[in-house]
Amino acid sequence: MTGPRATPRQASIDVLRAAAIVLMTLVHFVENLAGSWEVVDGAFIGANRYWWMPTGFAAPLFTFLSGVSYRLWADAQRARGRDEDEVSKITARRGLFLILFGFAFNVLVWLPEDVFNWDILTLIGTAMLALEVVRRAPPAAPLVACGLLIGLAPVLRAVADYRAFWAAGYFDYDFTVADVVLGYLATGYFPVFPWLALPLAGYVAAPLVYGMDPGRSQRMPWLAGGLLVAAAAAVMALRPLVPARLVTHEQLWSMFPPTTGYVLGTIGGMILLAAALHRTLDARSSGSGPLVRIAGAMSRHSLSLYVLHHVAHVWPLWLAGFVAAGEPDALWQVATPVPTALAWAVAFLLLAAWLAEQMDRPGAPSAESLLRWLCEP
Amino acid sequence: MSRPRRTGGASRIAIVGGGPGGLFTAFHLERLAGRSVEITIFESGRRLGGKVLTPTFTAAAVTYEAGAAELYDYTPVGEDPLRDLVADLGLATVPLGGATVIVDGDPLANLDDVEAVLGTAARREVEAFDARARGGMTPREFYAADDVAAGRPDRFSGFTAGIRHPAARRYVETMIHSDLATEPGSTSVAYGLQNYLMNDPAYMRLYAIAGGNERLIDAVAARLGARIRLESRVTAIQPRDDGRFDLVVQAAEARPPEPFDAVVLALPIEHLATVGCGAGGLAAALRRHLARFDHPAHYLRVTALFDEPFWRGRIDGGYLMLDAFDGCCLYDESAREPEPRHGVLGWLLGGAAAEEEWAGRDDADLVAAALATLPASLGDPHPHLLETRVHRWINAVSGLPGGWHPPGVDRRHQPDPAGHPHLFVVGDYLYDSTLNGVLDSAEHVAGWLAADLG
Amino acid sequence: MTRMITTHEPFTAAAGIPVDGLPPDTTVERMPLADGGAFELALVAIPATDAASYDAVFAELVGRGSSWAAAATPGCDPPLVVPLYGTHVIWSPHRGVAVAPADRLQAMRAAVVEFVDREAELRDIERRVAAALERVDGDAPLAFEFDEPSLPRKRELAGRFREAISLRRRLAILAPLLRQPAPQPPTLAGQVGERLRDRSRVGERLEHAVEQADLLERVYAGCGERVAEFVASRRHAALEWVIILLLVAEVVLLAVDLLATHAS
Repeated sequence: MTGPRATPRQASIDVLRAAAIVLMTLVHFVENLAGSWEVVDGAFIGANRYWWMPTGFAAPLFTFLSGVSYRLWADAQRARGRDEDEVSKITARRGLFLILFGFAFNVLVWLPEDVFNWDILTLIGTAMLALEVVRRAPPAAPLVACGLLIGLAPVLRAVADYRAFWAAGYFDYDFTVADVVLGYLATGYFPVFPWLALPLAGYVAAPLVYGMDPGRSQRMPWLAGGLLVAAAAAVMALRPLVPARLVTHEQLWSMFPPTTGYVLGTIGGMILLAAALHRTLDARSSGSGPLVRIAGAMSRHSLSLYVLHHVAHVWPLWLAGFVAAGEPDALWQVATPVPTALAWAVAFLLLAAWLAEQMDRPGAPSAESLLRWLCEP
Repeated sequence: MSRPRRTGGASRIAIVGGGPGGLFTAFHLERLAGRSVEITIFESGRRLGGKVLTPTFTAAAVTYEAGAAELYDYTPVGEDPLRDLVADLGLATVPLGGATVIVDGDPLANLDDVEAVLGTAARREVEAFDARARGGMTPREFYAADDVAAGRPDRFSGFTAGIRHPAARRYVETMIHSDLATEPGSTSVAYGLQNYLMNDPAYMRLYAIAGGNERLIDAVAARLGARIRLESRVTAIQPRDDGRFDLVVQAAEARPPEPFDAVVLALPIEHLATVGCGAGGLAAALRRHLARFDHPAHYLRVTALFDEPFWRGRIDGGYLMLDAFDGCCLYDESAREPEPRHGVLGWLLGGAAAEEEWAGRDDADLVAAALATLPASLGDPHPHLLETRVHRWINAVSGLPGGWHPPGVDRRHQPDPAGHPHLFVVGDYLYDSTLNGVLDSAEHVAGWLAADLG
Repeated sequence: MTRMITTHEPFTAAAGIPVDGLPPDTTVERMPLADGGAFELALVAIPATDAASYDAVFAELVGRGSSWAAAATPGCDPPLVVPLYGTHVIWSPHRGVAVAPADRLQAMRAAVVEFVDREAELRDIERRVAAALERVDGDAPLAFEFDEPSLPRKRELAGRFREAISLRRRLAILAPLLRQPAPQPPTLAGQVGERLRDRSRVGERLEHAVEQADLLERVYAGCGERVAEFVASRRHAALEWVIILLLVAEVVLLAVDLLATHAS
């Protein structure tokens, strides 16, 4: 466990976040332009048609890393002697910014009726507010909170009738307070239960993984990650024993809804991955290569790239659909063949790498610079 | 006799005697009573300090102790008001120690020397005597000795007679003789034990004031707000009907008798008799007081200044005991300094030798006799001699005889408690003839006066 | 555990100790010290000589002994030369010489051995206390307030507290030995020991060391109290947080149930 010290920026975190951007871009471009999954039970997403599609990993990476980055940032502020109240203000402002930015994103990038989709941006914004509280709590508090979030999620889904909110693989809700709140808590794309557990897990795991010098062997992250992966396997193996009322989805490993095995497995896997990269990549005393440099730029502008990658494929999709059939979603998942979608994804990634380096220049506009301007003193 | 009628204002206290007794009394009375008392000290001589005297040689700017040579530190066993006073006054102190006893020209500094020179049997006898002495008085008993009646009526000479080995007995008697104001045959066992056991740091330690013991007097006097009249001899004390006292003072400037609410006679016992008290009860009370305490003893001090401490390396410590003069303490006063340029030796003669044999001899005889007592191993002292001084303290101390029972503490200090409750006496002779004793006496009277009149 | 000589144990005869300048019949012995070093003691007997030559012979032996003692620590303070009743002790932290008539040497040896052992123990304690005092300024704020970022230092502070107690314990054992007055009636060994203690100022040094060790003990005891208070309050706070989270979970469950009922 590390005390408050300013840990230098870790290349492994940048690489992981850049990897999440790459995964997300590939999956979204292929899924939204060419369609990659099947609907199961009339409601849920089934298995992917393409085995090579790395679905279900980008979102956990983003949310987990948001908690990791926040922990390292908060410890650095404390080490530098920054006033605690100031840290709280910055955190709260960032959280609120991300929630409002998330609403705006839903409306402007997707469609106005998607405002309360409770997408990943509103989740990470909520996580910021939660982490501000957790930051002042004893170390046991976030662990207990994670347990409650993961353990109660199936119960809440059962109580809230998760199936009723999902049609043809999409979250669908009525504009009522009940539906909006239930979507936020349990039934949306990224509801608080259980997705808030991932940033909290990242917050708890950060000092375990990054607390020591990279060259030193660490047992705790390997132990924690291994135990979580084993727990995930156990949960999936014991699924037949779970009361039917609590089972909202047949698949053992599923992102929508996020099954317990999926949540535990992704958290454990990310801890192991982070530990492995930290031990290898961060331990290198030689300067970062070009890939790490690019990964760093992309990681620093992940919010901008998240918006841009959607704009890059969703807006053309709306336009083409409107032109072709008078409805924005007319060409949803049928606009292009998979190779074309892949090629567009790769092209976007190359552009994104260049854009990220441009956004690194002082004064260059970006979502991050807007966030800093609004949220930091 | 009515109590003095206070008409408002401070009580007027007269202290007769500017020695340690008078100064200590004034010091403590001012601390306790503050502005409620107005003190006047009458001193017949030109200086304050009495038996505490640290003059300077003429041949060199070197001081020496002509009177009280050391102070006693009782802190190993209990409270020590004199040590506390010295610390309060901010005076530095120098520890004194000395274990050498010269017997028949042989310096015996420790039991190893006793065994080497006098033999194993003598060593055993000395050790046995030491064990008996410790058994006879514990450190706590030693500390409380003045408050306890003498107890055993036998003489200290009987106690030392238990040392069968003649040389060992001489060794012990030489060691303690100079501390006895009188002969062992006239000294109580308790007093004799005290003077033997005072050499043991577990019972008591000796020290001197750095720069001279007279600095103690100077420091106390400097802190007094009292009026000090030097060369003012109180010739008579006349009790008044209102309970106060008129003092008749013989001074350069003639003054009418002055009335005082209380009088403290802080005089050596021999001078106490020179103060007239009329023919009434007070005079009778003072005569009884004198009769009870009048056991005068003498001390002679012979001090020599040398061009260097030529005895260094052969004689260590602040003092040693000689078997000359029936037992004499020889102080190496230059040992109180770390790097002395000159040497100063001081002989303290007491007891019968001082009184019977040497008191009447002239200074030159005394000096010659003193120099002749130095061991031959040190060489001839005369080529080093620069100056000598002799001080005679005749009847200046009190020698308590064996079997003498001191009266209670209150009774000691008030000769006539019923008739004249505000006439007190203070003196070392009421205790053990030491500065510690006179301080105890002064504190007692000051406390009494402060409570009564302050 | 520091080895204290409480009886006069025989030295190991030391072979190979340089004895340059000392008389050929000098006995040299070596003893281990508390700081891991060693002390070499040379016993020099004054040879039989006539009275006229005695002083010169004695001075010569003292001079040689001083040179030999000083050679152990070149560049440091000259050794202490302590004359006493026709004997001399020359002492430096790692070498000592006793010059005396032959029949007095064993008594002097006993006194010097005892003094060296105790002085070395005191010197070792002083060195450790000085090292600990350099760290105390950084630790003192934690004796007032302990917080989460300082929690990793808990073990380190506990170690320093144990060290402070250890130093205090060693001083408590050593102090009566250093303060005890010389035996009465005096013996040469007692007088030599007392003079060595006076000249090397072990009394003042002991008082300073005791004060400094007390300071260390107070600071680290305070740190321990603050740590215990912090850990206890943290435990209480953790329990409170768990209760709060459970209550929040209960509220969420109730809210979801209520909303779901309303929605349906």
